[in-house]
Amino acid sequence: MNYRQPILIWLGLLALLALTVGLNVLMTGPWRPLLHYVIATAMAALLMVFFMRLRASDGLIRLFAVGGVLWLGLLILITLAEVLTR
Amino acid sequence: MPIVKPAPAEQFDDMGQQRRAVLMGMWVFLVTELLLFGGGFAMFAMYRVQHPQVFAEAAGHLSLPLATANTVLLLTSGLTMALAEQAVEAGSRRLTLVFYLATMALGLGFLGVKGYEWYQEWQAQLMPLPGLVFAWPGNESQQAELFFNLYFILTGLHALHMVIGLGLLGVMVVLVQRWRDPHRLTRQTQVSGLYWAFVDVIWLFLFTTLYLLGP
Repeated sequence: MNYRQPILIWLGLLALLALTVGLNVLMTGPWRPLLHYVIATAMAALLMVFFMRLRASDGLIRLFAVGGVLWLGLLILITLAEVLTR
Repeated sequence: MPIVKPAPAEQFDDMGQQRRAVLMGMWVFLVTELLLFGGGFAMFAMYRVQHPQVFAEAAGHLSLPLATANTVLLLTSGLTMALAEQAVEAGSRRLTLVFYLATMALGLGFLGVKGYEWYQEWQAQLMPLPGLVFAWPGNESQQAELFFNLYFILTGLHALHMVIGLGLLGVMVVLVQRWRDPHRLTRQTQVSGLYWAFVDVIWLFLFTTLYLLGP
């Protein structure tokens, strides 16, 4: 069994969590939310690529995964565009 | 005892095709789940943009330490689930059971902490339910109530998924205990692992959206 890779990914996830919580405590200003979402996306990517095995999946499954995220992005983006341009 | 070669179900040409179809089906299901949560996230984003101040203030009333502890529990359960997948592929029944049970314990821990958080919010009179008093110590009480409505809907929906995930893992523990068809168990474990990791991914964005966008 290969314990090394999952444990490294887990440590990476914990480090990113510490970073985002640290930022929350220490940083103020308009850029903080953006950084929180960048870190959350990085953590989600680690989970999806390694724990959900996108790295070893065929192209079609990757396409579905990207498609799901893309549609969700459109849903939120267009909703916000409507609210912000009222 | 003769070694039985795994045979695909009738509608598939070979095991590879069956395996790909199983994983694809699960991904399609998870994408529909993503859109279920996505509606909630879009709604939250819309109101967050409209009422930035009171939403930030309301986020400050949630417990960041408890939520951080919960994130650690959930990320660790993601690790034990990934290890369960490796163990079942390596053919170790005992290790697979150990990692499944560890994942369940961590998941139960998460629900315990979440329940305690809800209890605290109920005590602070921040639970917007019919029949309960919602006492907001500030201005724009209605908008604060909106925040807590969304908070309880989103974390409640996520907790429901955790309960379903725990049920799924409970069934898997019984199946691993019996250890009848290791190839099938491998596929079932991969599918369970996808579901569990998905619930983990959703939590990361709930954590960011609800707890980290404070004042």
